[in-house]
Amino acid sequence: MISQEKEILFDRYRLDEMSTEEKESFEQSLKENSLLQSEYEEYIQMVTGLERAFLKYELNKIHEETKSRHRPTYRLMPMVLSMTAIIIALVGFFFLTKDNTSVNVLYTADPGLPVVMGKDDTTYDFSQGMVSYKEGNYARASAIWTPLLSANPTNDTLLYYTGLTALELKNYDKAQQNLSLDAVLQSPTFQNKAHYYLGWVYYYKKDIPLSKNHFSLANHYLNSDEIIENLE
Amino acid sequence: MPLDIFTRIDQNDRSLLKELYENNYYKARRYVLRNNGTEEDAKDVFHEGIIALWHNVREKKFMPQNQNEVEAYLFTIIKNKWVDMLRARKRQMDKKDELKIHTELVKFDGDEKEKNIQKVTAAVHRLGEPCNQILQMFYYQKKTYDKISEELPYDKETLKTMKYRCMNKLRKLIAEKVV
Repeated sequence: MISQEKEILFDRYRLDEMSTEEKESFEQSLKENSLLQSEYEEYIQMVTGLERAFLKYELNKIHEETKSRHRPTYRLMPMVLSMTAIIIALVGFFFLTKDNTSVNVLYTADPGLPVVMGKDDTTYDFSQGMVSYKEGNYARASAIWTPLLSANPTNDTLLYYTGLTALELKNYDKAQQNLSLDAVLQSPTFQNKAHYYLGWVYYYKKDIPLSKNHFSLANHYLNSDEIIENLE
Repeated sequence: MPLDIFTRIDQNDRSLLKELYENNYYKARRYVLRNNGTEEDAKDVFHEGIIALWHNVREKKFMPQNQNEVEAYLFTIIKNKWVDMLRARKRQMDKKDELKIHTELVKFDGDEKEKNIQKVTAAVHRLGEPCNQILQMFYYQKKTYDKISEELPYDKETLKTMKYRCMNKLRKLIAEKVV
C-alpha cells in the first residue's frame, strides 16, 4: 500500500496541480525510480477502475431519467419518487455521517450471487432481482423479491437478500426483521453474514451495544473485528 | 467559450452524457431489438459502448473533432459489440441449454492492466457509504477537497484521511478477492 503522502502527490500530478518545476522533477523521478513507477501505475489503474464504476452508476441514473420521460403515462411519478428517494438518502446520509466517521468507512456491501437464468419462473425472477441488486437498483430488486418471499416465507436466501435491500434502502426495521429470523440466523450459509449486517442495522439505529454484539457473533466475517475495535 | 469534446469527456460532463443518451439511445435500442435483443440487452450494450468510447478517447485511440463524430463512432462500437455478443451467446447456447446473463459485456484488450481495472470496478460496488460518495466526488466529479467539504459534513483534513482510508479499503477488497 502506498503512503498517504504519495497518494496526495499522485493526485496532484494527475489533476495538474503542480508547478512546472515540481512536475518536471516528478516526471524525472518516475523515469528513474522503478518502484515509484509501479506504484503510480497501480494508482492509475485504481483511479481508472473507480471512474469506470461511477460512469456506470451515472449511466444507470440517466437511463432511468430518460425512460421516465419517454413513458406515455405516469410520467412524473418515477421522477418524483427518484427525487424523494435522493432527498431522503441525502438527509439520511447527513445525519448518519455526522458522528463516528471512522466506522462508516468500514461498511462493506455484499456482492450478491452469480446470476444464472434458470428455466423455472421462480429462478428466473430471483435472477432478475439479483441483476438489479448488483446494479445497485435496490428498489427494483426489492419489488421483484418481495412477492417471491411471500410465496416462500422461510427461504433463507430470499430473507437474507430482502434484508440487505432493506438495509441499503435504509429501511432498518424491515432489515432487522428479515435478518433476525431463525431461518437466516440458523442457516450455515448466511449465519455469519446476517450477524454482520445486523451489526450495521443496529449501528445505524444507534444501538451500539447490540451492534457490537452482532459483529461479535459474525465469527470474524469480513472486517467485523476491525469494526468492533472502532466501536470501542 | 464552450468546452471541447475531449475536455467534456475527460471531465465526465453529465450534460454530454445526457445529450448522447437523448440522441442515440433509442436508435441503438431499435437496432438491438430488431436483431434478437431485449430491452435489457439494449441498455447493457449502450452503456458498454459509452464506457468504451470514454476509454478510447482518453487513451487517444480516437480523437474526435466534434459531437457528430462522437455519435457516429459510438453507434459503430454498439453495433460491433452487439454482433460480438450474439456470437458469444450462440457459442454458449451450443454448449449449454442455460443462458448466462453477462453483466460485463465489455471486452477491452484482455491484458493484465485491463484485468486489474475491471477488478477495481467490480469492487467499488462493495465500498458502501461514505466511501462511495467521497471517491465519486473526488475522482469522478473531480471536485476539490474544499468543494467537497462544503457539500459533506467533514472538514478538508478529515476528508483527506477518509479518502486515503477508502482507497486502502478498496485495495483490501481487491486483494481479498471478495468482489
